[in-house]
Amino acid sequence: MSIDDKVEKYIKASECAVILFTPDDEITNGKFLPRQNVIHEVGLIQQIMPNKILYLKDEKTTVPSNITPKVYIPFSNTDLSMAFIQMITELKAMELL
Amino acid sequence: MDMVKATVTRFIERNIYPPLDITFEEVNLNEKTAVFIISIPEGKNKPYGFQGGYYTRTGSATVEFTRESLISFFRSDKRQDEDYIPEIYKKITAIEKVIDYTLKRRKGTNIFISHGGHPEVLQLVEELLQSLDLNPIVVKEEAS
Repeated sequence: MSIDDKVEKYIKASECAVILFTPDDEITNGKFLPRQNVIHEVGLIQQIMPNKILYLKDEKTTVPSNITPKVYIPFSNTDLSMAFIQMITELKAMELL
Repeated sequence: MDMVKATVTRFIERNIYPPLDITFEEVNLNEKTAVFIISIPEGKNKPYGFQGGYYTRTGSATVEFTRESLISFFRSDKRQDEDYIPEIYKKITAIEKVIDYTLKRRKGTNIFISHGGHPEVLQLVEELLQSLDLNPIVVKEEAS
C-alpha cells in the first residue's frame, strides 16, 4: 500500500483531523511554508470531513491562500499550551470529548 | 399479605432500575403476628438507580454517585460491552450520555494528524490526544 493510500485510508477511519502547519520549507526572508504533503493532505481532508478539522499554525508559517481556513489555532514552537486549550475546546465542541 | 407483596413489588419495579430480584418470606410469629421478610441480594448490575439518583454502598452507608464517580464507575466496569449496556440502561435518559461517552472512549476515537518536518510538535500533539484517551493516527514515511 502506498503512502497516499495509507493516508486516505486513515483519514477515512478518523473522526477528526489535526493539521500541523509548522515552518518546514523556507521560501524567503524568514517566511516558511508547510511541507508539501501537509498541503496535499489538507485538500484531501477538506473533501472527506470539512467540518472536523483543527488547524494549528505556527506564527512563522505562511499558508497558501487557496487552502486558507477561516479559523486557526495559533502557536509558537516554544509554547503550545494556549493552543492545546483551544484544541480541547474545539474537540469538546465536536463532541469528541 | 398478598396486597403488601404486590405493593412492595410494584414500588420496586417503578422506582429501581435495573430490576432487582427480591424474595418475600412470611414468618408467623404467633397466631396474631406475622413478619414479612424482604430479601435483597447483592446486585449484579450495579449501579442501581432510585428515583433519578444512583447509589452505592460504602461500608454501612449509602452514598449517591456524583457525576464524576459515575463516569469513573463506567470507565472501570469490566463487564461492559455494547450489547449489555444499552439493554440494561437504554430507558434511563440521565445515564445515556455517560454510556455513549464510555463506549466512544473505549472504542478509541481516531484523530488523524497531518504533519510536516517538526517531530517535536507532532510528539506534543500526540501526547495531548493520548492524555485525552483519543487515538492519534500518524502516517510516517518509511525509511528507504
